[in-house]
Amino acid sequence: MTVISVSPALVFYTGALIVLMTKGRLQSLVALLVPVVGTINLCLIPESHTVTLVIFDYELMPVRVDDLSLLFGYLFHIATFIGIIYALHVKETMQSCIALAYAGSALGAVFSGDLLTLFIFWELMAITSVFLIFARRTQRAYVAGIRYLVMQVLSGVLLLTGALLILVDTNSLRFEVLGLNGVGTWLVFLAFGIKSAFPFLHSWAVDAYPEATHTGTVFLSIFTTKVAVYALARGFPGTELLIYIGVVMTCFPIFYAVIENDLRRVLAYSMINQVGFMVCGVGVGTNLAINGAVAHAFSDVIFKGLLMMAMGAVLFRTGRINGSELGGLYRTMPKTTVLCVIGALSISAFPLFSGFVSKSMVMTAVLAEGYDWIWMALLFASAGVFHHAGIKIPYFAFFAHDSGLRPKEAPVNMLVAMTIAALICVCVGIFPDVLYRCLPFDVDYQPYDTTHIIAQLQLLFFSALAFIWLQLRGLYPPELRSTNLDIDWFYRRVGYRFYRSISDMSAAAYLNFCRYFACLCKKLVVILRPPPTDALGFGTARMAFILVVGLGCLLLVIFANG
Amino acid sequence: MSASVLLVLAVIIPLLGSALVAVFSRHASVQKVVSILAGIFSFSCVLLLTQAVSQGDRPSIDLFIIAAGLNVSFSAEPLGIVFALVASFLWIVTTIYAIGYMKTHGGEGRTSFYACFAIAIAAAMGVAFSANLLTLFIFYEVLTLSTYPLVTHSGTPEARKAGRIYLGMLLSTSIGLFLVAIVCVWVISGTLEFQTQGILAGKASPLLTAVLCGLFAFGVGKAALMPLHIWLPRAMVAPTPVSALLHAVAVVKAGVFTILKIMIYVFGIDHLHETGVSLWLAYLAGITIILGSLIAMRQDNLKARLAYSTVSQLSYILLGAFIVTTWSTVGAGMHIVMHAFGKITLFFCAGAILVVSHKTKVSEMAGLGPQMPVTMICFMVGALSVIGLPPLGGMWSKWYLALGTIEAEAYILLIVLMLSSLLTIVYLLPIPLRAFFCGASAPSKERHEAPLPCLIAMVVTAVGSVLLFIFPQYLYDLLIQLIKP
Repeated sequence: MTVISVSPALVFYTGALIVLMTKGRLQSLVALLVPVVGTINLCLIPESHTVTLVIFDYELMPVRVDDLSLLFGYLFHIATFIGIIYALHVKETMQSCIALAYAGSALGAVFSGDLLTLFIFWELMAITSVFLIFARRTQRAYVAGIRYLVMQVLSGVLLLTGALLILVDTNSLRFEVLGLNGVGTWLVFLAFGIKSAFPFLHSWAVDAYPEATHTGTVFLSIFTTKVAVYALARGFPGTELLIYIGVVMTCFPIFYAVIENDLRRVLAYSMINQVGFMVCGVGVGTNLAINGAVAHAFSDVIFKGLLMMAMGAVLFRTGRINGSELGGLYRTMPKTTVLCVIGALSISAFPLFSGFVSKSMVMTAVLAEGYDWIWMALLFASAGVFHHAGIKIPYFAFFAHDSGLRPKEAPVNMLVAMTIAALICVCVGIFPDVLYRCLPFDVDYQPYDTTHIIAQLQLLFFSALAFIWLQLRGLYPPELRSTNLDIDWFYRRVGYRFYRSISDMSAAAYLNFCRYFACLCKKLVVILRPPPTDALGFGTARMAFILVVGLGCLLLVIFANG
Repeated sequence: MSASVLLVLAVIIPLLGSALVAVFSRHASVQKVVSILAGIFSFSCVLLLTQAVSQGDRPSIDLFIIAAGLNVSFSAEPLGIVFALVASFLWIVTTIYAIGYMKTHGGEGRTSFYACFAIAIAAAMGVAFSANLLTLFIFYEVLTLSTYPLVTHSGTPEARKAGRIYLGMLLSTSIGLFLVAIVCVWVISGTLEFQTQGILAGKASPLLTAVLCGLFAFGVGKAALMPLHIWLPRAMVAPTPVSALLHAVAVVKAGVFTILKIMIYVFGIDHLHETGVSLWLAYLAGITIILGSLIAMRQDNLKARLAYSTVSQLSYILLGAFIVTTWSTVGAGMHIVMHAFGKITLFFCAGAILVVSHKTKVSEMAGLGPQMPVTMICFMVGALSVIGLPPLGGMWSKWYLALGTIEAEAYILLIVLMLSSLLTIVYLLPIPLRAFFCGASAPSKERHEAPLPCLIAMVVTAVGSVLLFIFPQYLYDLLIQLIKP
């Protein structure tokens, strides 16, 4: 029996178009139906199905379905569905249309089997997602969006250059395991690195994500970095460098997250930290480690989405998001509080929640390969996660000092979306086999053994103790309205100065040049113009000049040719 | 109808149209109908020719012979066909646009406007189909002269001054350098005919070839290689349809097309590639790309910004032409088409903004989006195509140009191309984005768009850019004949 199935990206693009043309309830219905239809379509796609296409002289593979891409495919469908429910109250055509197009681009990237298709969707992701930031319609969001876009396109441009170099080197555009050999693969690696927020390349995430709309950030946190993790897992598994990059990614955001006031920015830092675990797993590269990375990507999308949704709900209801201005919201937003706590427990990797079953896989894999120090660092990072995401987010938003705010409970659609996400967190935590069965490699792994649970509980218990102690002694960094300097200070200040000086210099040089050029032209005109008094010898000077130039050229020709 | 007759018809029909426009100087509607019909007929001629050329035919015709070996003749080859297709198709669109534009923005001088326009197109077709350097030169000069009245159309002192610079620079470079180079070619090789392998291969020393390349590069002032780009931003005083068609498509593209054609058919790709003597010009083009972008960034006048962007983008094509690898040639040919569609859309939008809101400054355009959504969306599409992002045609030409730089191992130029994408984002995209998302200053939110013909024109070219992304294969098949005859 032949099953008709189309490219997963196409379903979403079509959906985005229909959304654009409809209004009101119908629009919401269409937007909700798209991921459902997409999931059915995905189920119908036969295993290891590929679509090939010849364009120019290249053999492209716009669709390649295998275990790795399929898992991300399902994940993105589920996440989009949740995100759309969450955004149902937003009656803005552009946002729902863009969200679907963005999801479609992410799916396109995940299912692309060659570097050209990957590049196309890579850039499409950039130019669709940025509108979720612009949609906030503030000056801050606008400039952050432009910075975000430049960074994302830079990533695309690096990918394009890398792909071209690889094409010239190997005469193939297939997107397989690339490994770090040659300039081309390094550039591709760097391109993936920007999107997965490697240290020093991460500023776009913490800069732009908190500036997006309350629904936009949810979508943003789902796709871009996870597609990058997928791309790394596909192209660079077992690259040792990734382990060290991953460790740095897990550790350094903790310090920023602890002192940051904007709670969505805290989550953005936390996202870098979580992606660090995945990057580490990809770097280790064993079957178990890749499985761990992918599984962690799955749980991260759901629990990070849940936390982002909770913070979005707070922002939506109170209009504030700074930890210093919030607090005591549990009185009027009890349901959101509970759901947020579930997300916090998951991200902190409490046993019986999704973070535990995926993160422990990465940790075990790291230990199994003998990276003891790395394992220690990851352990430290796990404790840090608990601090800034597990405790800080719910504590400062919903408990802590009473801010006097009495907002209404989040709208029903938001609660439904968050409940679905929370259920997934708990289900995966309790029945990890459901997730494990979908992983790309068959690995017999059991997260719930005594050592794991005891170790994790000890870790969490003692970090909680540390938090309480620091709070009681007043040593915990208070939530202040402040600006924390990150690496983007360098881009924005030094980089901008540099750009200004180059621009000024070139402008000055250009003006001078124009002036001299004009002078030269005038002199030429003076030479060529016949002297008015010399009536008889009309144009002699001009004729002589032209003749000399002409003869000179001819001489040059003969000379150069001889 | 034989193909060689079509060649003549494609050039003659716009000329006839021009004559008819002059005859019916009192009947505005007849002039419009004549212009559009002439465009459609001319375009169909080129389409029929395209069919012949893509099957491998090379129809040619001698018009008249001046002296032995010096004749005015036409022939059709892939590159010329591509240029003629673009010019004649966009002429139709621009005429539709001009109908809407002239209605609201100054109707006087209509006859000379439409007549000169048609002559300019005829000249562009002549350039496209020229079979030798002499024919090319003649039509090149006709193009300069016929567009001069269009530049000075408004008759203001500023326009006159711009016109003087326009005419002065283009004529002096073409006579002082271009013609000299042509004479040199004649002296060296004894022929001016374009040939697939080039006519200078093995006849000129590398030094001479390098000098000749320079003479052609600067002699063809329409290609706007720095420092000979000065006329282009000045010429923006012309009415917007003129800026759109002539200074984004016909005139400037005639310039870069001429250079590309000379590189391929006079010097020969293989010859140049082996000696590498034109590479220094490619670096100059690289400098033009970056400087053009940097200057564009500081322009507050929208049309001036677009003009510098054109300077920068034209050098993409020159860069491809001067690198002379197989892929860079294909990329340069593609970029003629891609940039034409992208940039003409931008000019259409700039004109629409001018007509409706009387705004010329970029800084005044924040918040215009809700008022003119179609215009601003089209602007965004055009800008994305010029930047070279998917899903728009500009991506493919950039792909091949970049591939060409790698083939030539000119990695600095590769970096230039990539850097330029980022710079282009910074100076083009904020215009529509600020129009939509920084809208606090918008006085009225109600829709107020340009006249319908203007909207049709800009939507057609914007959709064209998208279609060029989805169906680039046909263009590629045509251009690949250049390197695999």
